[in-house]
Parts: sequence; C-alpha cells; structure tokens
Amino acid sequence: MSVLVHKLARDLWRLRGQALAIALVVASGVATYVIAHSTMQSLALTQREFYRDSRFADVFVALIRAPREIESVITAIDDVETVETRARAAALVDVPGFDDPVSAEVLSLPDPRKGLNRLYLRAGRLPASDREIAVNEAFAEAHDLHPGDRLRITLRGRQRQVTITGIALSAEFVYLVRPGDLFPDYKRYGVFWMAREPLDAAEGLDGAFNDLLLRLRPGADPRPVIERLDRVLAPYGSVGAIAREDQTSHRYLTDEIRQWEVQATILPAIFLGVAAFLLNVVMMRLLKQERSQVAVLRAFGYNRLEIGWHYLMLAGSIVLLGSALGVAVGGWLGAGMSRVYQEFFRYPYLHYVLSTRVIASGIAVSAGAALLGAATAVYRAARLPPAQGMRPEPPPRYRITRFETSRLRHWLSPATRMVVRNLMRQPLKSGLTVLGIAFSASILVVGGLMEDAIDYLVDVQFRQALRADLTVSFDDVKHESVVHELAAMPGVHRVEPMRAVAVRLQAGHRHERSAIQGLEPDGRLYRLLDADFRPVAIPDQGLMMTDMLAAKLGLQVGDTVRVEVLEGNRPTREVTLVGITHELTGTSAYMRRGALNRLLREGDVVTGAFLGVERSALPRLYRDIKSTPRIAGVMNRQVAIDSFTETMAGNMLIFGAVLLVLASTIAVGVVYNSMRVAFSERERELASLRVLGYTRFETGMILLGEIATLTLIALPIGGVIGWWLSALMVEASNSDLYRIPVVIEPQTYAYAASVILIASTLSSLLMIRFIRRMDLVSALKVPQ
Amino acid sequence: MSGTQPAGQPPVLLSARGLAKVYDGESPVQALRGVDLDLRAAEFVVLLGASGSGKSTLLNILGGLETASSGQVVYQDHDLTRAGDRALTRYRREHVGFVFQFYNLIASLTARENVEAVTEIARNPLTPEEALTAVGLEHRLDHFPAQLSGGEQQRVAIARAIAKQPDLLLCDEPTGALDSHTGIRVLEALDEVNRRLRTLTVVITHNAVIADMADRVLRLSDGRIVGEHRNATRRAPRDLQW
Repeated sequence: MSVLVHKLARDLWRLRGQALAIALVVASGVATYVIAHSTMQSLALTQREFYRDSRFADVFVALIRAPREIESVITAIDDVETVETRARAAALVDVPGFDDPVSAEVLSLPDPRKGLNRLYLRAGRLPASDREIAVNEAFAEAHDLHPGDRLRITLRGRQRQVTITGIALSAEFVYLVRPGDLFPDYKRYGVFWMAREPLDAAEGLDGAFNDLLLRLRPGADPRPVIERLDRVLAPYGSVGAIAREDQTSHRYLTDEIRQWEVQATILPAIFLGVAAFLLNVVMMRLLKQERSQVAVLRAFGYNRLEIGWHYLMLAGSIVLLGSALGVAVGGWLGAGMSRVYQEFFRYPYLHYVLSTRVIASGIAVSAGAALLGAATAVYRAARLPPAQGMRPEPPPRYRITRFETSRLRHWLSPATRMVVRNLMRQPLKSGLTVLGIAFSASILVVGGLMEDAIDYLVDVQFRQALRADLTVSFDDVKHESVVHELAAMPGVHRVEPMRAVAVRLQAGHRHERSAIQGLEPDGRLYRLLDADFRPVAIPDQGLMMTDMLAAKLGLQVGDTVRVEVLEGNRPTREVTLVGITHELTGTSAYMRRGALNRLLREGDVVTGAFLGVERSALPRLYRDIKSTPRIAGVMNRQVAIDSFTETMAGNMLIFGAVLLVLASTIAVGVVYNSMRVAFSERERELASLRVLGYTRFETGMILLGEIATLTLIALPIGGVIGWWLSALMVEASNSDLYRIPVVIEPQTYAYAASVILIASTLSSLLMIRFIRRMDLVSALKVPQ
Repeated sequence: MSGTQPAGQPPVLLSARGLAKVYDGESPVQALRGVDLDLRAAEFVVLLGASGSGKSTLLNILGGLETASSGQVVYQDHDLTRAGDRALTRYRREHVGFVFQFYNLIASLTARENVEAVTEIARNPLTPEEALTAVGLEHRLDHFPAQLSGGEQQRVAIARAIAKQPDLLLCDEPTGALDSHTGIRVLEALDEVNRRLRTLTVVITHNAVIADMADRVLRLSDGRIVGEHRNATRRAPRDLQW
C-alpha cells in the first residue's frame, strides 16, 4: 500500500488549491457546529450548576400579605421540601448624578442556613441594618457603584439614605427585566436586597410575608403543589403560584438555550450539506481523470476495496484537515461566545465545555456528510471493469436544444452562442453548478437574517406598535382623572391611560398566564397591528390577543375564553375573542379600557399611561415623576430600543457576524471549486479553440461567460433558497418571548450577491492565468 | 531544400532555416537539431519518422503552436520565430488548419457547429455545409461527435481545418487512431482537399505506406531531415494498403 500512500500525498499536493477550498468549507461547517453545540452545552451546564449552588426555587408566589403561621400549612403540602417566605417591596431610587427615574425591586435576604435563591456575593458583604442594601451587579456596573456608595430610596412613600454593602448575583435574575418591559434596562431597574427585619418593618409586614419560594422534592410535579398552594393562599391576595418553568429569568434562559439548539441543528446541516455536495463534485471530477489509473491498478490486482479505500482516504484527508481546523476555530469562537453570554447573563462563573463528544460528533457528522458525497464517485470508479476503464471514456451524449432553431441565435456572437449551447446541452452539470453557487449565496442570506430581523423587530415593536415616548405605571389602580395631572406635567403633549391586569386565560384544557391591557379606543401611542403590521381599531366589546397567544390557546375569532383575574377578589369571567393582533414579542391580550373596567366591575380606573413628550422637557419631567410616589415605573422608548440593541441584539449580532464570515468562506470555496472544475473539464476544448485560432481573450470569454451566466442564474435562486432557509430557521426558533420575523433587507441580498461576485471575479482571474499557461500541445495529445 | 525557386514551381509558402528545439528540464531534450525546409503552395508533403524523431515538434513549430529555440521560420514574409502569442494566434486563425490524431472535436457541438466554430471567426470561409460536403459528410451535419464513428469524427476535424480555406493544412498522425479502411477514407478526404483547394498539406506519420500519396516525402530521424524524395506520381489513397 505504500505506493498508494505516495500517490495519495502527491494527489493531495496536486489538488492543493481545491483541497484547501474544500477543507475551508468543511471547517466552516464544523466550526458552526462546534460553536453552537459548545455554547448550548456551556449555557446549560452553567445554568444547572448555578441553580444547584444557589438552591434555586421550584415554585414562586407573590401575594399581598399572609401571616407567617400559614408556613406550616404550606410545609405540609405533599412534595414540598423547603419553604422560604420573603418580603418584597417596590422602591423608587435616586442615583446621584442620574436624572432618569429609577425603580427597584427590594427583596429580603434569604435565610442564611436553609434559604432558597441564595445570593452570590461579588464584592463586599451582605446588608444587616435598615440603612444597608446589596444591589445586583448589572445595576452596580451601569452606575459604577461600589460597596460604600450611597443611594436614596423611597419605600412606601418614605425616603431613606442607604449604603451599599455588597454587589450580588442571583439565579432568580440571570435575565433581569422590569415586569411589563420587553427588554432589560440595567440603568433604570435594579434588584436590591435588605435584611429581613428592616424590610418587614418598612413594608408593615411584621409577622407576615408577601412573597414565597418553595423547593420541591427532586422529580416532584409542581402542578398539584401549585393547585393546593393557590387554594391556601387565595385569601391572601396571591396572583397565583408559578412553576420554575414560567419564571421570567428561567424561561428566557431556557429559551436562549433552545435557540442555540436550533442553531446547532439547522446551520451545521446546511453548511455541511454544501460541503458534501462540493466534495461530491470534486471527487467525481477527479475520479473521472483517474479512470485509466484506477483501471491499471485494478489490472495489477488491487481489489475494489483497496482502491475505494485509497480514494476515500483522499477525501478523508481533506475532511480531516477541515475538521481539525473547524474544531480549533469553533472552540476558540465558542469560548468567546460563551464569555459574551457570561457577561450578558452575569453568571458568577461560566464553565466552557468543549466536550470530546461534541468534537467527535462534529468530525463524524462532517466526515459522514463529506464521505457520503465522495462515496458515489469512488464506488463508480472502483466498479468499472479494468479493460473498459483503460479505454477512453465514450464522449458524453448531447442533444439539440430549442435554442438552435430560435431566431435569437443569429443575434449572438459565436462565443456567446457557444456559451449558451454548452449550458443548455449539459443541463445537469449546469444545474449542479448553479445549485452549488446558489447554496453558498443562500448561506450568506441566512447569515444576514439576524441583523435584518432585529432591525425589523425594533421597527415594528417600537415604531409601529408602541409610539409613546414614555410609558408610566402606577403602584396601584388610580382613577382616570390622574390623566389630567399627567397632562399638566412639563413637556407632556398627549396622555393615553391604560388599565393592565394580570390574568390566567383558559380555553378548554389549555391555559396561559397573560395580562389584559385596556387601551383607549382612539389611541395613537399604543397601536394594535394586523398581519401586515397596519394599525387596527379595538372593537367596543370583547377581547383581542396576539396570534401567538391565540395559537397557544387554540383559539379562533368568535371563540369564548375564560378569564381568571389574578388580582383583587379574583373574579372569573367569560369573554369572546373578537380579533387577532400581530406582534413580534410577547403574548398579550387587549380590550377597550371601558370594556375591561366593566368586565372587572370597577369604575374608571387605570394602572398606567402612555405619554407623548417633548424631548427637550424630559429632564424636568423626570424630576417631577421622581417626586410623584404613585409612579412606580417609567419606560423610555428610546432607552428601551438602545438597551435592546446593546444587550439582546448584541448577542445575536455577534453570532450573526461569525456566521457571515463562515458563510463567506463557504461561498468563496464553492465558487472557486466550481470554476476550477469547469476549467479542468474544458481544458482540452479550450486548447482546441486556441489551436483553431481563438485568442486568449475569446477563449477566456467562453469559459468565464459560462461561469458568469451560471453565477447570475444562481444569485436569484440563492436568494430564494436563503429566504426559505431563513424561514425554516425562524420557524424552529420562535418562542413565546419574541418571534423573529423572516425579514431580509435588500442590502443582505446585495451583500450575498457581492460576496459571490467578488469570489467569482477573483476565481476568474485565476482561471485567466490558467488559460495563459495552458500547454496547447500536451492538452491535445492525450486521447479524449 | 535550397532557397532557389526552380522555374514553373509554385511559390514557397513556409521556410525554415537552422531550426532547433530544446525542451528544458532536469535532462534537456534536443528535439530538433537544425532543420532546413521549404514548403510550397499546393504541395502534399509527408513527413516520415519514428516516434521521438522530432516530427511532431517540427509540425507544431510550423503551425505556430510552439516556438523554436533557435533558427528561423518564415511564413511568406512574416517571421514566426519572433512572433508573440497574439501574432501566432492570428497566424493560426488566418492561415493554418490542424488535424490531430485524436480529432479534438468539441463534444457538445454537432458536426456543423464544430465547423462553425471556425467559420465564425475566419475571414473568407467555406460554409460549414461546403466543408463537410468536401469530406463526404453532407448527410451527418447535425450529428454529435458521440454519434459518429472514429473515421467520421476525423473527417469532421478535417472539414473544420479546411473550412477557413487555410494556406496550409497540418496533420499529425491523422490516421493513427483508425483502422486501415477508415484511415483510407480520411486520406481520401485530405487528398481531395489538397487537389481541389490547392492547400499545402503536410502529414506526419510513422506509416511509410502513406508516403506514396505525397508529392514529396521527408524522413526525419533524431531531430534532423535525413532523406527526401519526390514521387513521380501520387498514388490514390484507395490503392494504398497496410
């Protein structure tokens, strides 16, 4: 076999350009696989460890006030292992040197011995007195706060000066977003911790609690526990217990991990599929050239297996080189990606795992795909009887196409005619080349999807739907006359009040927690949108909901929904679904405010308002809002957009950029290989033309014209495939937190097209060099 | 082999003086060692030689596919020795027709289209139909190479070579890949073209029988012309046998 090994080494060297291009394509595919899988595994592992270390709760309940004696009743519920009662309060915060209103959730510290949701201290110590707090790290970093710094906070209308003693992390707030907001805003929303007693005192909770955490026995089903718990706590103003799977931070994290699962499945499949296709084309081509050599080896007595193995080794060496490169690059980028996530989620630690299983399966998947591509070619070559193989291959069969009889023919130059003829008479070969280039263009389109989709999402959510400059929420229900007070505030030119209420919606056996927002009928600051994202009016009566929520509940317009209100005396009502709205984030339900007030049998009350504000008046308005204790939260639309693009979008964009680089590599690899193959297949023909007196330019035009035509045909097809693959990816990655729209901007198509065109141009220059150096005499000497 | 022009003879079209060719490499090969040669319009010349005698190299240099290492080739009054790629391409395009042992037809083109590939760029061509009729293939116009026999394919190659009405037709072992019966049909086509169009035809072969159909026979050995004789009468190809 040693001779075959030499042959293998020389073949690899001879094919180095193409081999390198294929190796890069394989490397890109493997890298995508490794990045996605390792990031997914790292996130999941870190999540598990962090939850374990901080004794993360299984069930969460918020209520108004319950006596501590009830704790023993709850402990007695089946499967409950640990009960932790907490005090929870909303605070307004005055950060020195920061004008915008800031709010915070203040929680009592977990029990030091058997407490749940334990804190991970980054700096300093835990607070002890009524003048001390610990703050979450994201907030501290956003304001550059350190232990020893002071803040003013307002609890229950009473302002106090507190000192920060520690900076902490909590598994409960890995993803921290103010209730009602879509995206994190670390500058304006924080989580503080206080010692239990002073917080009880501030909230008037002596001997009572208003928040509860449960840890269940391993493997216990939380549903029966929640049912019991809701019955026990209903009299104490509970809005209903939620299981860990519905906890905001956990849900977001899980969703993020699931997104990576999708990336880890679909993208490598696309990338490796293209690599396999490429390898197939190149191996076919190579083995065609090797036909007589295969036959000679067979005649010498090498068996099919030995020969098949030899050529598979050739493909295998290329794949192995590519895989090794892919694992190295993927591991490096994956570790970087994980660090980005650690920062984003503020994990106390992040264990980047690049398991041998991921490496092995990445290589196996790519090798499998690529060898599958090579196998047919190898099989064909090894199957050929030696005597037949040593004879020249019969020329391929062609047929006359309609083009020859058409009038168009006479308008074309000889070279153009030859190009058209060649393409039309070899539809399969042309088709495969088109497909290869189209696929690489499509990968580029998928690579650009993230950025376009995020731009679009921001546009729909923050320019079409939410148009209020500020959204304020009150600490409790208020009479609608509060509108006049808001309207009198500096710079406010429009006020639209709203009533939001937490509900559980039920349809048949399906149910979802959601909120119904009661909006003004002629509202302009918050608009509901139809399928084309045009505003729709809210009917007088009945409920509207997002298509995502309707789908989850299996509802259609005209159906009746059971609404279980999770506030006040928790009435249950039936409402008809009268319309579907379309949003890209959230699963909300909407009614006219008047109708909602009537449904809840309450007066004209509101819980918040949308404001249209003069930008220049914002600082004065903020000062006023801060001194209005009723306002518990303020959301600035521009700030939300900025924080969204900075944080969430940031992660997607980083991966998007990585993807784009890998996709570009693949595109260049495919185009270069297609050209190289086209050249070697046509070398003899091109040499014939040169002998007949065709100039280098004319000969080049025939080859390049063919490739240019195929490229131009491939581009729109690539666009369509790209759109289709994007839709496939989006379909797989949609969650109830947000839905990525399949929006691809013209610039993305343009980028994809230019990468392909640049790759084609560079490859063309190489081909021109090949044509210049073509040895006419020897090209014509061998039998056809 | 002298430059003088005997009275009544056609003019010299192509002449070579002191032509030498060395292929560089680890062990340089001297393919031609000083060849002097005059070829006249309408002549039918057969170059005989064993493999490695340098006959293909000579043909390629005469046809502008290669350049000599030293010496001179003059076509009419153009010095090919000093011509660049552009000039050689023009020379091939306007004056030379080639026929190779392995046809070198373009597989995706029909017989007619293969000829068209030349007529489309030539200045004063025959029509593809005329050229194919000249080689007896008027009934195979729209067949692809794969649908033609080896002899037919070679005749298409000849039609393609003569369609531009070249001044010289260079044939490298045109019957090398064919059986004798088919080979004779191909030689008939060459003979016919030479007589009718008065094209200077040079055929290189190692098959000595073919020499009988030539006006003049040159023998090459080890890169030199070692013999020359004229046939008193040219034998018709159909009378040849091998």
